[in-house]
Amino acid sequence: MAALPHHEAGAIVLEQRFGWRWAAGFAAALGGVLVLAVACAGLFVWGVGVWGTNVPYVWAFDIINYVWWIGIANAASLLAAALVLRGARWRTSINRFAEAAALFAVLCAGLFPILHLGRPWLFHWVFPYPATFEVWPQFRSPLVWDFFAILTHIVVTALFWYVGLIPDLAALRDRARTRRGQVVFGALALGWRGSARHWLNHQKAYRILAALVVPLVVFMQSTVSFEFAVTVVPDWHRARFAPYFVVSGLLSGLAMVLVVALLVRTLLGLHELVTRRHIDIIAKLLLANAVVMAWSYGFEGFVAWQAGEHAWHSALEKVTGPFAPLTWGAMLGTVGAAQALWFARVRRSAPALIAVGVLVNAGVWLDRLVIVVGGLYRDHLPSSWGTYGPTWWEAGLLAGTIGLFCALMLLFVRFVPAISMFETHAEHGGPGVRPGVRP
Amino acid sequence: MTEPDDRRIDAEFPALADLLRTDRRAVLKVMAASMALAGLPGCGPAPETVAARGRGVPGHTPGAPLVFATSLTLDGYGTGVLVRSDEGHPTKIEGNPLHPASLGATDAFTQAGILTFHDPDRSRAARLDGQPQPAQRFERALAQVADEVTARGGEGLRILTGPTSSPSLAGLLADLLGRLPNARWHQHAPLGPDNRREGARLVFGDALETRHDLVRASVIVTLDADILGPGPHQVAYARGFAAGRREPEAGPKTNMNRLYAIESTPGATGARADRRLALPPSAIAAFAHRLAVRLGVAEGEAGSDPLLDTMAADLRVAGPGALVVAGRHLPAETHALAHAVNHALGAVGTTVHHTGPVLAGPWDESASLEVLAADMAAGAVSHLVILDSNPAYTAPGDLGFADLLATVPFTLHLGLWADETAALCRWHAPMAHALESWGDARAWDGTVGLMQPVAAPRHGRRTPQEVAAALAGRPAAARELVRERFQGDDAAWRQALHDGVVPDTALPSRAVAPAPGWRPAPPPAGAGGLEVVFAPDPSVWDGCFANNAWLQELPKPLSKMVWDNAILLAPATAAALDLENGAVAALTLGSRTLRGPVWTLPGHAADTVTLPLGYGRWSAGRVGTAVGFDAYRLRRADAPWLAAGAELRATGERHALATTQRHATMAGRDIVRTAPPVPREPPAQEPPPSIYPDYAYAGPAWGMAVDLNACVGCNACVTACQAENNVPVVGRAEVARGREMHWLRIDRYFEDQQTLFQPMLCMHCEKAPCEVVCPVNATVHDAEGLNVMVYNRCVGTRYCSNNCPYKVRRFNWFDYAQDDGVPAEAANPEVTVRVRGVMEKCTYCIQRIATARIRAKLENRPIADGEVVTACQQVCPSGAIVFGDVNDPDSAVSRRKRSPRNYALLGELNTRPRTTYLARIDNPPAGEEA
Amino acid sequence: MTQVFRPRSTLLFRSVFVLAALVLAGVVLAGMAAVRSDRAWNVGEAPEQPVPFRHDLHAGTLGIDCRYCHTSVEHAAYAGIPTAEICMGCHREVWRGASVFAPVRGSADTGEPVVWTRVHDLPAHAYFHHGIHVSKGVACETCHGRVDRMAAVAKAETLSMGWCLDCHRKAATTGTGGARLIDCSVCHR
Repeated sequence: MAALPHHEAGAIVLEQRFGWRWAAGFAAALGGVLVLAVACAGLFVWGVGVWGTNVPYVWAFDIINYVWWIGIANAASLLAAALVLRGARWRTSINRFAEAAALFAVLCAGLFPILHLGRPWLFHWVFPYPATFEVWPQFRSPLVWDFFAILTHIVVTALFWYVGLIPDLAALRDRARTRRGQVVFGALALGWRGSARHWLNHQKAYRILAALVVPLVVFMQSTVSFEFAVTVVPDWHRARFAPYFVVSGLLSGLAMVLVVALLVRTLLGLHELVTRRHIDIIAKLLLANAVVMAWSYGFEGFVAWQAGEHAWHSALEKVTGPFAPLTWGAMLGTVGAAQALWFARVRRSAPALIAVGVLVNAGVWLDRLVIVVGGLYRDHLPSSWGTYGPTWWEAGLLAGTIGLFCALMLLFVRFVPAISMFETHAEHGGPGVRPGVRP
Repeated sequence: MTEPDDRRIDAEFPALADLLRTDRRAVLKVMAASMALAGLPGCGPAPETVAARGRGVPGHTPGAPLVFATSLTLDGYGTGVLVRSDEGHPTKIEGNPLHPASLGATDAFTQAGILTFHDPDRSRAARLDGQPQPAQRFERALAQVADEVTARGGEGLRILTGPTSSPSLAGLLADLLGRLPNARWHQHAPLGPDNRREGARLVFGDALETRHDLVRASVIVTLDADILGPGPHQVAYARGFAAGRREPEAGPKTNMNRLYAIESTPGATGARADRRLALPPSAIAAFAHRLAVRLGVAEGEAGSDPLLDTMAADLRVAGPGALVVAGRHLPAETHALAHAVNHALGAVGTTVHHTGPVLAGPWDESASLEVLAADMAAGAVSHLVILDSNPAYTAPGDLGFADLLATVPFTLHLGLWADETAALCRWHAPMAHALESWGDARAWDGTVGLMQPVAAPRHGRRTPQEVAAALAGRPAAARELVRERFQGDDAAWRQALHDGVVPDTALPSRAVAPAPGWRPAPPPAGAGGLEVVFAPDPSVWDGCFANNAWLQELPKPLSKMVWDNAILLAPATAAALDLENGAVAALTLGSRTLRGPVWTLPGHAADTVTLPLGYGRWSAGRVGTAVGFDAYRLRRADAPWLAAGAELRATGERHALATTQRHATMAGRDIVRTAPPVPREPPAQEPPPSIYPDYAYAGPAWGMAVDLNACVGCNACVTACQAENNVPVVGRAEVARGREMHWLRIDRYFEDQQTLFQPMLCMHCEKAPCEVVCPVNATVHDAEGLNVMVYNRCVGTRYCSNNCPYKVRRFNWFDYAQDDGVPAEAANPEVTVRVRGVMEKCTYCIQRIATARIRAKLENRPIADGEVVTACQQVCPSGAIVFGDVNDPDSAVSRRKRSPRNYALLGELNTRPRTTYLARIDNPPAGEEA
Repeated sequence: MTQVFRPRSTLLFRSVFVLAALVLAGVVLAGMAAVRSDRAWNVGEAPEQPVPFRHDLHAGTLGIDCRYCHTSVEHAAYAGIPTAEICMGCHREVWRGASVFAPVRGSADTGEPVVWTRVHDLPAHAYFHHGIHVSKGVACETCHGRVDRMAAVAKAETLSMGWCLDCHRKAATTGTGGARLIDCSVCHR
């Protein structure tokens, strides 16, 4: 199998016939985008009142979705970067769409900090710029840290992804039949000629970015957790939130990459490139992560038990009170579903894996809900204990961003090499280079 | 709008930009123009213009508010008020310190008077058979009637008024009846009859008015009498009660009063009682009798009851300081007992005063509504003139008054609204609101207060006096009618107008003695089956406030329910009947059945239900129509207050009731503290360290102390805050979603047999958690220690609310201020009206601070202690709230904060709140522990 | 196959990148300049007024004190637009016949207002008090410019928040007003 994969990889973009499956999927995704548009329109016309939020539950789906998406983005980036840094041989086919998934997820996440505002058109006030009213942001607020974190994340993820693409874009340029194709891909390839110097610089840049991504991801997830940890809300005020968010975020990211990998694999018939082995490794990572997650939950309970009467009561109410179904759902989704991965048969069956991946993501989303909403269930003053119920407007935001994510993913596999051609090429011993090695 | 951020909004969201432009001050400035001082309608052009008065007003600075002294009435009793008017628009009502029923404070109803005045639903035209008529046409009709009835010596003419204490109206009607001997004046009090008067007749042989002096009372026993609850006496009684409990700064109070409350329906009195007992009304009558037996006033079975023994002993010891009060709805015999007991204990003259009637009007039976109804049925009534009363709605159901109205050839209704009665009368004429009337009213102690218009009456609105005069065939202007019945020269008149009260008009206390023939009636046999109590509603009273959105959204003191009434009953009774909050039940009483949701109240008497009156109106206006159920329909003219043998059953339906507090207990947390009356050690004041540097205060640093020992949970502060700070109304649906906007709320907790009130407002924390999380610096600490909320900077992340442990922040989920139907002229021009998407909260009335500061600076002096008074502090009848400079060790607030009872709510969070609380004191009977 | 990109394409690309960066910076700077420009704040615009009142004549040539007409400027928040009575105080004698006075005369007789167009209009959430500023020695022209030289009154300053703050910061630091002069709560409630 020397030259075949090489052709195949390029062929995905150049020769692959995208049949009705792609069209149908894209149509469905566009439907989701439409839902997002409607949800936003209603939001702008009538205000955040269209949601079920209230006092004390001032945050709900807006922040839940944000935390969820950013977790996926972070974990996907982390995976991709780790693969690059480790130079794992089997990564090559995975990390390209892992990067893409990260980029699109962070775009989805980035919507919410703006959408959730009471006056979203003024979001730029969070950014320090010399306005005529000469007021500056409040740098002690985690929301300001978050603003910068998201910005950085978008920039770095985009660069990481794009730099990785350059050689393939060049390859596409060379294969392009129409002049338009040549010009477009050529411009995007930034004059890549595949010279040894190019390869060297490219690999340097690629690895530097990868090295940047790793700490960035930990920093990002921690920042997100600070939004809760720095408050005086009893269930939020926790130093352990940062690692907890990293772990649970990684879980959702891996699950998302797994699902995407399998879908891309079947959609594009890349059975040769995205092999069982790849899938198997991700599944095992996921499983390992789930075990850590189980430990975190246990630790939560232990700390609550230690932290005194009120904390213990509120912890008990989490698993017995009105939030119990959600709490158990979160645990079953995150920890429970992944346990199926102990069995090789499950790890080999695409439908089963997809099911697990979806369950895990749902579980992590519920986990976010239990934190964001459930965290305020037992606040300091009983007089302010309230109830919250979501509206369709909120659900629309979730469905909408999922639609947006899928749409972007589909466009990506359609128009950009979903698989790193040059690396696959190199790995499969064709003419080219091993990453970072001079030919 | 001239800030760049706003201009970009213009570009992107023109609609929103308009909302941002809601500039009420500009509107008002424009009004300066069209306004002669009396305040003519203001509907000005766009804010970009400014109109100059044609003529100046002597002694008045353009743009500065004016204050008028006048009176408002409740159940006919007057309360003196000072009304602030901005460019001719009444914007705020404060109590009149010179007036005995106010002494500077008011109740919630009085505060809401502003909104009633600005109510766009108020009647704007005379109507004949529902068709609007020119005012002249109405005057001609009136003159014609005057001629007709005069010809017949008044035969067939009946005048029906609500309860009134107005000397001028009484005088006019007396004249009228003098000239037309065959005419008759009937009076209908929806919350009547007051059996207290009848009780006095039984014992003393004279239907005397009874008033209490709680300041001098050391032991108070209330028999289903909510003396601290809403009503014309609330302000005075709450103040007296608090005075009898307030600790001197020196140390603990030695002779603190003790309150025993026997209640069927839980009320403020029971909530503040040192000992409380819940009994059905019938049992309370028997209880009263057993108490009287113990005190040697009645003979009979004393029974064994430790509580009764303690009470009796306590009362004996108190002697002249004792006070026994029976509820207005208890039978006259019970009142007779109470009167006799007070007399026997020597309390008459100290805690109890008997005077001649305060309310004007005929007191003989022939004046009752029943007699009128009978005459109407008999066709003896040709002309019925209804002045300021709504019998079609408030008459007891069994009278069928509404149907009878149709049988009278000529019916005329004068009222604020074209209400249920107006709809059934041939003629309706719009009545002038108290704030646009010349008039007078007696306070609960008889003191006469004058009414003067703060704004000129519009739409041909007139006062009852004017109609009465016209009926007598001698129409005159309202002012003249009041002036000519005022004893005194012009100087006295001007002084009385200025002060709002006529000096030395309080009714003298009369010496009384039980009539020799009087023997206490034996205790009534306990009524069988489910007992029913009809009670005024703490929010809409008898229904006259049904169209007032502020009051509809005012959480009821104990149930915290809004926008509804409910069948109130004890949790046990509800459980027995398999009913829960919000379940719709059918209540059958005799031949009538009523359906309504039930609400369980801890501490409610067993086997008893309370039906709040004032709801279920069908023609109240846009706010009050079709809210709740109408309990008047179940009322019987012969027994208007109590009924027995009712049947209550579940219908299986549910009705969503909106409440502002969903959790009733403190869940074992240290929130409302109670203390024994003995001396206590001051708690350690040293706050834990903070990583943030401390602020230094060169000038004043504002702070507040709330004395939970004085608070009676009357809600006056809540409404005052709403009126002062343009707090919008959100409606039932939004409250049900937990989105009420009140800056000041009163938390209510039920803790083992106790009901605790705690006013909650922004604590203005020294280390405010909200400040550090706001990304745009929209909520910041200022140089006088205030935690200020900058609406125009807020982007609405709501993070501050998340991080506020007291949850006192409110968010504009929708454009409430724009959509709540409260007219712009009702708003306080000194306070920004908040737009959609911004957070808001208590500001310590920063506009009042700013005004005081600027005044002080202009006069080159520091701000004096007590110069800044917050709206809630000013209105509080019991003086529970003290505000001032905590930087000044001698300020009232600093002195109060030095009390050992002073504590910071959730102090363990180290937020260092500037609003602190003084623990409530329980004063249990000797031998018992709190 | 023809060559799509020539060697100089590289140079072209690079210059395009640099140019793009420059343009971006330029746009930002231009925007910042625009929102600070007088034009953005209607400075110098003199709106049409119902009566062609000439401040330059009254305050300038005749030297009438501002406070003569703006009576409440020293003690109230609102400086006060003179009533028609004040105008007629002089103009019953001077220029009595002039047709331009018609609105003022009418107003004085009927009490109907003369509706002027606002020149200095602050947003609803900014609370300005003339009295305190005047009493602390802020001259009228500090904000209103040399009205005594304006035939028709035009806005002289932007009245932007930054512009207010410039003054308040000085006063706060030089000690006359104290630190609280730069508190949000001084102007916003």
